[in-house]
Amino acid sequence: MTARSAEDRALIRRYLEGDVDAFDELMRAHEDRVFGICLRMMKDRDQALDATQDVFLTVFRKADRYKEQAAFSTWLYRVSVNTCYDHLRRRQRKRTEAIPEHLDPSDPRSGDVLNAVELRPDIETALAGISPEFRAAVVLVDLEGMSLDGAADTLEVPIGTVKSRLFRARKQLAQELGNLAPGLEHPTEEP
Amino acid sequence: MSDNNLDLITELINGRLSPDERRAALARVAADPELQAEYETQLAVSSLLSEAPPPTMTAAERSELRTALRQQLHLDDAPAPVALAPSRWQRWWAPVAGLAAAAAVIIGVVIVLPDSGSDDSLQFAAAEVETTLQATRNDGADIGGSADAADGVDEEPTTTTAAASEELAPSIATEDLADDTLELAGEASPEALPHIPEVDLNELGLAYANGEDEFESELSKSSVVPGPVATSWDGACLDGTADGTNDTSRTIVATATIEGVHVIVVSVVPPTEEPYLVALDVDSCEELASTRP
Repeated sequence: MTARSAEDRALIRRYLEGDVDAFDELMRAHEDRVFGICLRMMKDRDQALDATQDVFLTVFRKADRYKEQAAFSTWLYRVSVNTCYDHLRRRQRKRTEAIPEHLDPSDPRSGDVLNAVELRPDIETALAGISPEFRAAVVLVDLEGMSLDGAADTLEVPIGTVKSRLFRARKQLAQELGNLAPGLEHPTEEP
Repeated sequence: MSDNNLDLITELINGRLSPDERRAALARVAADPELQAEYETQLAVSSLLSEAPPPTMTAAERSELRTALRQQLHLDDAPAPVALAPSRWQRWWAPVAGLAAAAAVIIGVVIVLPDSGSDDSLQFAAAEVETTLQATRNDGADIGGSADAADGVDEEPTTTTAAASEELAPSIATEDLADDTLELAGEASPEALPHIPEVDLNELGLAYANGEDEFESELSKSSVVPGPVATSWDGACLDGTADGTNDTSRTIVATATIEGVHVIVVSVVPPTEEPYLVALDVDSCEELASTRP
């Protein structure tokens, strides 16, 4: 168990005992990463903030159900990804209603681009163009630096599924992005 | 691209290969131009993404988020934020009672017209439940004092043929009906019901009473809570022990999916008491509503 993981468990216990300071400490420890996942999943900053709020609301409301067999962060990121899926589904549902094209959130001409993120705009757009499941794999592994095992735990899918989603997601992203710089590590350069 | 090669490339980029394994994998990639091209593309995308700086919230966003959470969790006035008050159950119970009332209409159709297995009668029953499932939600919104009109939801009554439903549900929103599905028992195997994760009905009831948006939001959150998940439904709800004699007959009248919560309506015929209907959460077998006297 990592120090962070042990600390999280202690904080959750304190929170459940009514210690409000534990809330602040948990927020400080995790809010940026949860926001990062949400922003990269949702693309839109305001929607990412909404999703982040929902994630923590769920986590704190259900804190008594947290089973300590798993790392708190795994549970938290699982809730994050699933909350983003839900928000994306809701957004998709709303978009099926007639929306003028210039107001379509996925339209690069819309105001969302101004709100968007620390990623290059072309990467941003390419990410938004792949399925949420593929995007989640890329966000967790490539953007958040999670291991394949960690991503599999978070997404509650077999590791083979993570590999497959990751591979296909990158393939689609490469097609979207066009010419890419050559890889940093060339196999023939290996001794 | 074969699964083996896909695996190889992903392991090379993200896996924890030993130096020897890594050397062998790279040699294999180098020997196959197609594989090498794919590896380079994958690596380039991965590198591009991993170099991106992590996004952060501004101080204002951070403060706003924490303030909102503190308010919603009642942290400043409640020492035990996760305790569930019993009254929440009561608030949940009231709107769901509409479901039971409509289900009573269905069982009436099924019992009174046992020989009329025609499509018409089945469709009538289906319409009843679908209408009332939706109606109970609106009823809850009314109880919570929230106005769907603020969200642009049409509050005009549209359709209901059951007087009981009409009485319980003065307003019916139609635009969300497409999200609800209903199948009469017999048209779908109960075993084929989708898996549903644990649902906290107390929280759900509270959200329900606060309006449709919060209800939907809470439902969606419920679906992400880790917990015991039924891997299949074996009809255990019908073996419930509440009334439990072997002579008690239990039959599924209808199944419905409301925003991901799978509900069955069961007619219960005890040997010595009046028959009644009960609505159960399929996953937990928890009773949502009943017409039990």
